[in-house]
Amino acid sequence: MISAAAFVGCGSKPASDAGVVHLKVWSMWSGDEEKGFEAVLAKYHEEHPNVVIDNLGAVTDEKSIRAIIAGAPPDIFTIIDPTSLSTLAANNALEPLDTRFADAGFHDVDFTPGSLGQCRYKGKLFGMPYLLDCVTLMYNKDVFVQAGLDPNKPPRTFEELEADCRKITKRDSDGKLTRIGIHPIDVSPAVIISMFDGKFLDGDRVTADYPNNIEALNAYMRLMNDQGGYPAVQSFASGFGANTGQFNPFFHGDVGMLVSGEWNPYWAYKYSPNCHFGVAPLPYPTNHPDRAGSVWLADNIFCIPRGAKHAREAWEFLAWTQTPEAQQLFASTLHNVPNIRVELHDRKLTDDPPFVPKNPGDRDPNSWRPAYGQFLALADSPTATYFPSMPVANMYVNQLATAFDGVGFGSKKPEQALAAINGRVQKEMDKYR
Amino acid sequence: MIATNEPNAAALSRMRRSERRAMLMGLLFVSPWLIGFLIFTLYPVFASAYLSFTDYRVLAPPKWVGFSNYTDLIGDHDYFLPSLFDTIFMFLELPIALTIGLALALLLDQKLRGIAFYRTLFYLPSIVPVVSSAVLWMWVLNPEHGLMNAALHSLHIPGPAWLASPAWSKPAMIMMDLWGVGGGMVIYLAALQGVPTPLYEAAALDGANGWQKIWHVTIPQISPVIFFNMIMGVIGTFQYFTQTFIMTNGGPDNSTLFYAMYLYQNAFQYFRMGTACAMAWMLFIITLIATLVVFKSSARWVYYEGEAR
Amino acid sequence: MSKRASQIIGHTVLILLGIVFFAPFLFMVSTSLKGDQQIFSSTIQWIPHPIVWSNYPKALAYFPFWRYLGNTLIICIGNVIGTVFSAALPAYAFSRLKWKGRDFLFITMIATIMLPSQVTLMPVFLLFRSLGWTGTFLPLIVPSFFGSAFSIFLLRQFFLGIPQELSDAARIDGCNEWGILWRIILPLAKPALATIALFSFMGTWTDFQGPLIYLHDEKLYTLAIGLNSFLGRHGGEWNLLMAASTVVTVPLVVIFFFAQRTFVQGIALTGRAN
Repeated sequence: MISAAAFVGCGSKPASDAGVVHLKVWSMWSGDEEKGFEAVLAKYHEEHPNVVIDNLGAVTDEKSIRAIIAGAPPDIFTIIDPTSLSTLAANNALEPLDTRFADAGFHDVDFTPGSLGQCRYKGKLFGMPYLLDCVTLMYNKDVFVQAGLDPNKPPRTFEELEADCRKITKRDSDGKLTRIGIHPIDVSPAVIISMFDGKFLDGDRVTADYPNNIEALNAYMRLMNDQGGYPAVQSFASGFGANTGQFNPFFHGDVGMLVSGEWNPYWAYKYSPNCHFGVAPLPYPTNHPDRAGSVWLADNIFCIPRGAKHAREAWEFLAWTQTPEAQQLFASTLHNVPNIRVELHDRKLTDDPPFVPKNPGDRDPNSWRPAYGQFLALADSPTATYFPSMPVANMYVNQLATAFDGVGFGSKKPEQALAAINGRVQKEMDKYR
Repeated sequence: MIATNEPNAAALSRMRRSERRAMLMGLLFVSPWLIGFLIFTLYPVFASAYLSFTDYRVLAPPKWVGFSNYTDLIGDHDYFLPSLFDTIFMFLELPIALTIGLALALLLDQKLRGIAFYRTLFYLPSIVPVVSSAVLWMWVLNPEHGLMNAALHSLHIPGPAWLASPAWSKPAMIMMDLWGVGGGMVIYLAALQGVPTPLYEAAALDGANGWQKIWHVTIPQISPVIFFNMIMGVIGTFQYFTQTFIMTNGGPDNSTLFYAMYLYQNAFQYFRMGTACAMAWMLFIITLIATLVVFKSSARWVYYEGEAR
Repeated sequence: MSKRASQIIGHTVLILLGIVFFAPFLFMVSTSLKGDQQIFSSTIQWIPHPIVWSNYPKALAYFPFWRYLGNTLIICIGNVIGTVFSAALPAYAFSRLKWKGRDFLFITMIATIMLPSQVTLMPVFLLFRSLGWTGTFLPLIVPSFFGSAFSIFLLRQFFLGIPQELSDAARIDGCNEWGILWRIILPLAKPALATIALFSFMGTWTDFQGPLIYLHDEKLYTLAIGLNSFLGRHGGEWNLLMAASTVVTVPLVVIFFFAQRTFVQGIALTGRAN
């Protein structure tokens, strides 16, 4: 159980220096999500009037790394790609947080499974999660109906996924793609590998060409071929509209299925309320049945750069984000999955109470919550996975992406492409012993 | 100063003193550049040479590793060698830009009505900021909705995926660069207008037609300008960075991973300053060799007015 | 071939090429005025129905144009001042003074023009980092006060063309070298000074990698970095992107039209300097 005392203690301790402290926060969100984050910051300022937080949104990991290398980092920053955490930690870029974590009275068991593991490097804590993404399969029911598929039966196995993609893919009279089965999975090639029970690391040895990994790569290429081939799909995808808007390819019906996360129900509500979609666990290959029910987790990780001017105040903010109030507030504005385990089952987040419109045309403001709630339930799964923490994690993932690209465009063979990664990543990793 | 006929000690020391004074004066005047040269050129050149032999992660002190940065790079078939070859591929653009630029200059070197309008029109794309141009061409080359493929579609030619295709991404960038050929064009135009007309008249007397005049009079006369542009073109190609950073980030499949881009990634993304410095030094040597080659070859075809060769 | 025929062919080629060169501009402006629906068609509609002027205020709401413009101007003007002031003295020394070591240093300077910028990029960056100047405009302005080789070269060529008699006469009058430079040479060199000022301005305006590695606070962004950041936030919203792109392009085009004569001069000078 959460130690209520710990939270009360953290939240109300005033900063001991007189005067206002300005914290610079760099966050990844833009548009409405940025407003959602700023609502949280406003609430924090309300409760801590001597701390003013300046937020800069739409910050890429690349920008944060650049600023750290230049010696001009902010006080807190978010990491979009959780694999960057270990690279930053390995290069002395982050403030270690273990002592602060223990002093604040936090315990691992109170956190959503998998949320703290991504924040650790060599067993030491270097970041705090503040909500996370649970990525799984979504399917557009309207597209399913159009393609002659049962809108209540999403593919459970990988083979079913392939069959469905073949049926959904449509071309025009010139042979150009007009609809494909599934959006190319750009979350991370690691997701696909994890669906096939792949292995990235064996102890200290890089195993990019583990047999299951090769199987996953081949299967993904087969999936792309089921809908026109990797190059054609990439070309088609480059013409997709923006994700936040009615031309989001999933809502718009350009793709039948999507591997994406828990923010989508709200986006559908906002941009395409007439879209009917469903949520399901990631399909599992029939020869890997223990992957059934799996989802992919990716934290929103907040880090404090080493040598930040206001590290203490920065930590106080991070500690506050773990309170139930902060979790609920952010979950309601950002529509991500809470990282405090108890909140995963908070009915306030997932219930759609009966709605009586005051005026005609009024919409139920909570109609998206049940679908969102499905993601929360899935996140509590024992087969949820994330990329293992290692010093050159983001180099590893980048190389995987390049390998997938190479195989997709026909310039490389799967076994060789993955085997080549071993040597490179191993060499870099060994420098960090 | 009138030199004395009998150099005596006093006269000699006076000369040396005046020489010395002249040198000090010269150095004083040159000092802004000289100080800058020492701080911003000479020191960095040696510093990056030193760093290229270290594993330097910026946030930790450099560690000596000898030649391993260099050997790792040369053996890297997936990133470094492609970055080198991708950049060398872009050399193709130089002769194309030269031909088009020169041809346009010749076309515009006439006293036609409204010629100033055309000159402005062709020159304008070259002053569009690179970022703007990159964003614009991302849209022009969009495979689904862009201008280029729509135009090809109307001619019943299927348009390729341009920036999303490993085979077409570099030609797409060359095309985008050629939009700015007006910059070279106006330099050639200025040079053309410096060619003395008597030469053309003499050639006409010898029975030369239009093409022959261009080949035997115009081109030799403006060869120094061509030469200069070629050198700057070679150097510039290796610094090609902004467009790939904005449009493709090195992809797809590393097809636009240009040298300067991979160098930047090593220095500012992968915490590998040592490797980046090694890449910089290799570039230095390559540029030296390329420049020497162009210089040596210039003896054959660059013609300097009034020079006995 | 008859003169008339070749003239007609010449005109036709020019018109066709003109259309090709102008089309992207047209496409940019046309897209910037389209509504969200209209962008995603596979045939080209040059004139939007309806014309969505509101794309511009919308783009500008997300793109602080005036702030970025101000930042860009500060850096550009700083560079112009630095370049002009630091080019005059060395150019004078290289052209109108005779001293031991002059030619050696001159050749060295020319050689630096061909030095790839990457070789010095990182140590200079580390130098500024240790000074604590990263995150400010300083690394982007201060180096220009130390002489740009290209500007010095251009100015030197120009100075070479000024008759020696003028300097000699001034020397006889008792003027020292500094006075000659300031009172005689520089006033005559106004076209060349205008040229290097313009080149410096244009080069700094379009600089991308410099601001990329030195500027991290969004309030200090230049137009170039700002547009890149805008692209990151609003990728896929092509109409807004084109509006922002147009807005970033306009200032330079305006400057070009006002400074056309200087442009032409500059190009002639570059041609002569070869």
